[in-house]
Amino acid sequence: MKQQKLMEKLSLWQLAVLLFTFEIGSVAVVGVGNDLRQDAWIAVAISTLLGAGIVSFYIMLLKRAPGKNLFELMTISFGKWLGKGIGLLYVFYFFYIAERVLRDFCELITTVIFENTPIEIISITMMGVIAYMIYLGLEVFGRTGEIFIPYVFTFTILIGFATFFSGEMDFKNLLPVMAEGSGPIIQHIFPRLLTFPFGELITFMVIIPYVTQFNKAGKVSVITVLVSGMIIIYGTVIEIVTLGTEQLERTVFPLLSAARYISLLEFIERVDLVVVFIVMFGIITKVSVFFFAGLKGLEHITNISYRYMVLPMATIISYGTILISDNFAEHIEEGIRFIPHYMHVPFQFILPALFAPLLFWRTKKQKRGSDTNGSK
Amino acid sequence: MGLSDFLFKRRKNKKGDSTPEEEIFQNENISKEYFKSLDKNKRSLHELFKQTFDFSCDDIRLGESEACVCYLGTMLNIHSLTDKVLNVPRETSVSKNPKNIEEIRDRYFPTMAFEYADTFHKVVWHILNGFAVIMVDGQEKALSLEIGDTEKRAITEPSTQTIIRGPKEAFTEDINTNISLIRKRIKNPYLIFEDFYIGGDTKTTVAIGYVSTITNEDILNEVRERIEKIEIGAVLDSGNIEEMIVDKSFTPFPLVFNTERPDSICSHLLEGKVALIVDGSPFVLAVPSVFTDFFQSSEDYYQPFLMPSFIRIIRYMSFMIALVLPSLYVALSTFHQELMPTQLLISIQAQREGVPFPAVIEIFMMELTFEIMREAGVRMPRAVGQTVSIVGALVIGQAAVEAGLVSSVLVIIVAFTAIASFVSPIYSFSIATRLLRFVLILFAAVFGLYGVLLFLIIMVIHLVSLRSFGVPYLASVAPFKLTDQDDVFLRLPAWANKRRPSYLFPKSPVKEKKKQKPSPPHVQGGKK
Amino acid sequence: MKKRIFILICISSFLLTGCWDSTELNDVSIVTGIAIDPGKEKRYRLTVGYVNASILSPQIPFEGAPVSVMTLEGNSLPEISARMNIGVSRKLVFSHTRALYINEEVAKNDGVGSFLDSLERNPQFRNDFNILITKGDSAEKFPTINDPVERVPSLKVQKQIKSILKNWGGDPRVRLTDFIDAIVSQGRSPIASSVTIEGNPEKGKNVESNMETKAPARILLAGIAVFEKDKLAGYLSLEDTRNYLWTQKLESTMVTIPCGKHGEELKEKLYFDLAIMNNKSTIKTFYKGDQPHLKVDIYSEARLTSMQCNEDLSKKETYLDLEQKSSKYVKDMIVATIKKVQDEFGLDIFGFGEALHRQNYQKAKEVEEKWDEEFARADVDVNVHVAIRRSGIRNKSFLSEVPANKED
Repeated sequence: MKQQKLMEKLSLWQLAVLLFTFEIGSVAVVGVGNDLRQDAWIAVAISTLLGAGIVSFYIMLLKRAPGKNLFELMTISFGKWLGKGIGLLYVFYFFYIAERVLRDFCELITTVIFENTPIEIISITMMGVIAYMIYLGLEVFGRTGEIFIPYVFTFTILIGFATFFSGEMDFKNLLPVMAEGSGPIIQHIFPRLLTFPFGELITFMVIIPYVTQFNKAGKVSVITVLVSGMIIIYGTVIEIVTLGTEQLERTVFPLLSAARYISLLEFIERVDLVVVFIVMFGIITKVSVFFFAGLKGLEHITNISYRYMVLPMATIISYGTILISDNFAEHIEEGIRFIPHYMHVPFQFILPALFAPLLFWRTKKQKRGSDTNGSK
Repeated sequence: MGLSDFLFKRRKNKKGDSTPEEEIFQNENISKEYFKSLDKNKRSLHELFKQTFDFSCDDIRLGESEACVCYLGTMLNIHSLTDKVLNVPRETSVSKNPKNIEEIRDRYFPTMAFEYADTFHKVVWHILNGFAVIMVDGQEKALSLEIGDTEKRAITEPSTQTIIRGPKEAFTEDINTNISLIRKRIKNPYLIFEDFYIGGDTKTTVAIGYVSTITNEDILNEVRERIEKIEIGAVLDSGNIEEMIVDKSFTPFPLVFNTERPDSICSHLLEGKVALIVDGSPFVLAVPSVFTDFFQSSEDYYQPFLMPSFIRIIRYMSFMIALVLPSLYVALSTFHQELMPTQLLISIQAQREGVPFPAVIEIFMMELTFEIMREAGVRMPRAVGQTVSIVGALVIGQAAVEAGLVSSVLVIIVAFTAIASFVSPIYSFSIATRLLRFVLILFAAVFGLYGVLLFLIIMVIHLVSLRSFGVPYLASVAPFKLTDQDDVFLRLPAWANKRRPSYLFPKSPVKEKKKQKPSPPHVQGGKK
Repeated sequence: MKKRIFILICISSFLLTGCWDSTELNDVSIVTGIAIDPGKEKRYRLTVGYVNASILSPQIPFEGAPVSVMTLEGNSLPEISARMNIGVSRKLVFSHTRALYINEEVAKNDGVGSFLDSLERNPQFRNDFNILITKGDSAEKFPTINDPVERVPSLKVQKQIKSILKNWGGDPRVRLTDFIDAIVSQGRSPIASSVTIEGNPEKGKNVESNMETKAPARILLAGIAVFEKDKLAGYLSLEDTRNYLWTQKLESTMVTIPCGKHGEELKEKLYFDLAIMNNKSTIKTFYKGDQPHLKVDIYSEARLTSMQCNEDLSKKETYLDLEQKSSKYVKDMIVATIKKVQDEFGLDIFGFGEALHRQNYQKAKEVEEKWDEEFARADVDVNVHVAIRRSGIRNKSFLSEVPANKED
């Protein structure tokens, strides 16, 4: 039998699907801008627009050297050794964020559904699925996304309608608009909202080069970011109008809490599970993207096919998920205080901004070089 | 010309100009040479067939030459043999001695289908295929006459894939009949059948059929290649071939479509697929096949499109029900009592009161019981089969509930699941759900709904990684193709379904070019 | 192949060790009612009523108690409920709790905050149970009062509340999260429903009481309990509850309005009834100078259901007249209720403070701390418009056709 080659290709639609699920994945678990109370959606709207800008910046970098991913770009701009060194930092960053995202989900499951199950079991089983998918390759990953996107999308939309028809929504909760002025919103957007969930798209700098129609990838990504931004706004508005500002501040998993209000026909009630499902697939996508990005980095650094590293790295991540914080408060606080400032900002903005000029300079030189070669 | 020559386009063999017969017997210890001497040939034949009771070699005289007619008595119609061959030389008065074999044929058997055999291999092959071979002393070639078949099963209604509206013919065990059933429906010179002989011991004829103007060359070559690679002893059913040509055997999902309906095979051929017909099997295969094929019945196309579209959705739903329902019960009743409405929970609890087993064991027991009953029902003589279902339904179900061994909710669930699993039009697909259901129950017993979701995600990952002859198994959904959606979950009316599925990369992707949406005549009149 | 076996072993080892959270349905008891009383030795005395499912099975004839009750003392709810198994055979599942009865003593003296937190925190507790303050009898008696129709007492109470809310509006539609939100909120005071037992609770406990056509004991709704923060401040009657709901979100109700002009001495006591169907109410709070104003706009659609007045309903003018009368009447009722709340409690249960918060954020910030005082001294303005749409399948009442008394 002819061995089927495991291909590393994504269609544009698959890219859009992955981007979309990636964006709404974690957001569905922990929510965004809960501190901003009724103005959260404004902050999300603004940062969506900014996020589209960020993505186009990343795409612009990628277009300088088509077909090269983030790590290869860094080697181009920083040289072989420094490039690989910084690449390694990115690998750590990606794996760490993967662990954090996974931890979000593990906490959700162990608090809401399985109170007695060891958290390790959740992280290991999730990582097992992710490792299996990533081992089968990017193509399988993309297609899996395609299968689940209709469910994720419709369920997200349905949650809103169901809470509305359950009569649990009070649109007065959206008032007053911007009572405290724009100060808190801006503070919240930078750096927290901008880095999560939008700045995290830097991982897609590892995936976008594998898209078959690379030249259209930029447009598609920007549109997808805008669409997913709208869905996030939609979710945030549901949370605000259903829970009310007081509760929104107290709740740990806002969308889940909102879905608990659903009660239709006295039968369709207690549908938290639907939320867990959306969340579960979102989380799998998100962790997989980070995981894949990290593995690709390792592949670039070590020159060993990443498939060999799937299992060991998955083991490390599932273990690291447990180790990164002792309790939920620590986990959340790290996410608010430490991560945005000391991890997200440098890796998402400062480093790319640093190597952008270098990259431009190097690729320009290269292009000129090839031009002169051509003229000879 | 022989019938097989008419039906098959003879494949030009890559290994030079050796005939298929030579290829077939190349590994066996049979001399190739055909002798001029009748005695020598007879002796070799007797040597080869000496233990076979149905082999006969009758001496006759053709004019002045010694000749003999050799045949397998069970492979041909003995009456027509006597009428058309054995009696002919005596009745025909011949004035002149025929010079060569061609003349003999011309004179004595002018109306019969024939073939010449110039090698001993061919002679043996023809005898095995039910020809009467006439060997004439002193001739370089033998004359093989096609006598006509023995009794075979008549074309009947399909027994496994019944429909209400549509053709009621089914394939039979005879490959020639099967091919003629297809040819009857597709009268197209570009419908081509190629033959292969597979099975070291059985030499079974396997034909691949395709419409050369539609089917993609790459797929065709892939099929040819895989079939040529098969080296097994026996091919008794198309299932044997199926196992040897799938892309991945470690999967519960069928990667090759099988059907006993000629109309269904025809529609697959016209989409650009390749049909595999195996002599002796009423099930014809179609490759490459995708997941959604198993949810489509040929009847879908014979009815107005609304109902079939609805039915298709029902089929997908029942696939999910058959897969998930028992595990959902386990998960909800043992893990997530809070997810059930209070009244429902109380009534389920009331029914489970006094049941001595955990829910998992309970459902495993019932599912296994059901599988046993189903197997028994299939294997039992038809007259007794009825009893099994009565015993199963009445005794096991009712009595178990009354004895308090299982809860009545569970019986409902098991029964409903079983019925739902029969909805797939293709039987081999329901096997997948039956197997996976047990694994899913295990997952649900350990992780509750989380386990169910986990398993479904693993299943989807597995499904998308599958390929059938290089075509992604979930094609037209993942990878998603908008233009193919006219015939996946819904069946759009025929005039809207103009394209062949793009995942098959057909040579001519468009079926009908014209806009054919029917409309009342006055609209057209108005335009004029 | 080795790899596959290895993976299989890994998976099966998982499967074999699993099931941390699984509990068979036979091993749980579904709690439907919880009652909290002040403890004698410890802080609380908790009573849980759990369903005896096998009695409720349709196959088994009517016998035995549909619920069973267990009482225990302790200092916090999770502690007590965890210890319940000293007397209960099965694990208690609280996710289907339908009613939480709180003894008024507890609510008055201790406050409800300390145990509401544990309820809100626990994912087992849904948001769909009713918080009920028990008036008169101790709370532990409530989960035991049998009812022949709805055999699980707490389910009966919940259904009854649902029905009254739908048909008349005697329940403030307050759930756990609403209650907690109101405690936290500066611009709204929490409220809850209150219930009493009518009849003899000792008899009502007995399943035999289901055999009687007139139940010896019944749980009745008794209007709103008003809270100051998490402590009980007092009660409002059922009428006031309905009027309160009218300012919030009333589904439908029934009002009986005297025929004569308001204040006019009536010769005969004649009334007409309106079934109110669609309601829209908006609350506005604003300041005129330093004086807070509370404004409620109500628009209701009504259907005439009985007519004792001698008026011709086939005329448009009659409708207008009746509309005016009823608007006036309803307005007076609601104003009276608001005034009563202002005077008796000085607690803003209507959410005027929240309205101010939405409408004038700066001012709301200023008065946030002393909002209840501001509320108590505020001017009240209620606008009611009742629109009568139809009058059943008759127009004129046959009463108007009856020959008049010949005395005059």
